[in-house]
Amino acid sequence: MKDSEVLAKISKGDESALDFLYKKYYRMMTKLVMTNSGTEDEARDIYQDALIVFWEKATKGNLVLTSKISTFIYSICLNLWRKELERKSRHSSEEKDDVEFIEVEKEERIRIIRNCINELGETCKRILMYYYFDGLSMSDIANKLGYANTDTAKTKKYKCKKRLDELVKSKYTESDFMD
Amino acid sequence: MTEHLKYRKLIEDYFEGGLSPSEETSLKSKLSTDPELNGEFELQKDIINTIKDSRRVYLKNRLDNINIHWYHSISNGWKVAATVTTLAISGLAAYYFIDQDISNQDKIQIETQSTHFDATEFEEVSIPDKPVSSRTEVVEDIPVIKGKTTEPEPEPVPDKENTTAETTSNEEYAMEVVVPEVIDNFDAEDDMEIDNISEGDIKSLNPVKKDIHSSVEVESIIHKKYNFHYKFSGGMLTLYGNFEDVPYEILEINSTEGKRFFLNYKDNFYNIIQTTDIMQLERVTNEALLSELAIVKENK
Repeated sequence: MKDSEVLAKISKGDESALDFLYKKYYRMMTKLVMTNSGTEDEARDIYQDALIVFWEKATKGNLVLTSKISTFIYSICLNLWRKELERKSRHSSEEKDDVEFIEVEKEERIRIIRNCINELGETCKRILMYYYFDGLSMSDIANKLGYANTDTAKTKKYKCKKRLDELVKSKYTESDFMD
Repeated sequence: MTEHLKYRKLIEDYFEGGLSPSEETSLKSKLSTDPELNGEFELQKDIINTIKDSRRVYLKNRLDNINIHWYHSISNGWKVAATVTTLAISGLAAYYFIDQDISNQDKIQIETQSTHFDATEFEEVSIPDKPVSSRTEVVEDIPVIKGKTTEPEPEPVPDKENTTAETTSNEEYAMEVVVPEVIDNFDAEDDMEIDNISEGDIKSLNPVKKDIHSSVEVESIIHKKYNFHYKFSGGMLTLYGNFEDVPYEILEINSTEGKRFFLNYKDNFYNIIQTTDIMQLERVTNEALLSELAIVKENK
């Protein structure tokens, strides 16, 4: 599959293109991390993250590649691994400060939101993920989910988001009350 | 629309990328002076970000479930195309074991190798469990498939003498051949050059398929102690030694008596048996079997 074909598939949210890239460049990308003080698990993790970054950019449809996909993903891997090494380095020397409390509160809110997302039906979850993360058009979402037209997808997305907001607010209020 | 509702709509549009620069400026200005609205903004930001994180987790799980082990092993171990060829052959092996003079004993249906071959169309037929050393033995070892009363035309075998096609009988030996696609011109040393592997090639390497026609997973390991050994268990063949220099093939022959595996390496054939112990690779020395394996390899 040519790079242009891969991009075309990804822009439509076709996850098989992601699988294809993952297999194709697995060795190249993981080797980069493993030959730079990384373990195999870290290498796989970085590579997966890099692919997801690439996916996110490509699904938005505004990615202009001036190099091969492999070169692009390689540079993302390199950057992510550098950041990870820096993070590890900081983590070992840095003292925790009172920012921690704020982070705990935020983490709790994120946990509640995550639970609410999981309470949504599978279709709702997918619509919201395709819309907000992949940036797919309503037409592409309708195609992926087998809706008759884009209006159905729009209505569904609206209802799902509304439902999620209500769930989060009710849970978050409960949580405040419990505290 | 009240002012509050107006700004809530602006927040919604902000996260959907639908704000004009002037609207965005207006919203930010309002957020800096309205704590309640700012709280709503922060909550929406967290919700959208968590939706995005959920998608990342979903995609990571998807990637985690992709088994790249075999593909990875091949990449690591081979400078030249490493070909793992799965041959589910019934009848073909038997056919080759049969001397051509016994033409009236059995009728054999032969299908040559095809990457688009539908193995389910064929019926498994047993082959002799042991290499045959004489024509008489071959005849005795050939199993009989009952219930076949028709006499289909035998398919011609490429490069085979005419007498081959004359090997017919009242019994039919069907066979099946499943051959995964082979990577051509693959050079694992040059990572950047692997673009020429097609999607089909990659899919063919995916060992997730677990049916009876699935490929054997192969890995090669450089080992201090074991330099020409193997272990074969649970569908995983581990080759110990330096197998990087030349391509090899694994011939997998299915029969009703079970599968038989052979390694073809540097013009020699080696027996592969199921074992959890690490065993030395032993060359096939039986001339008859060698001859037939060579023909099978030639015609696959």
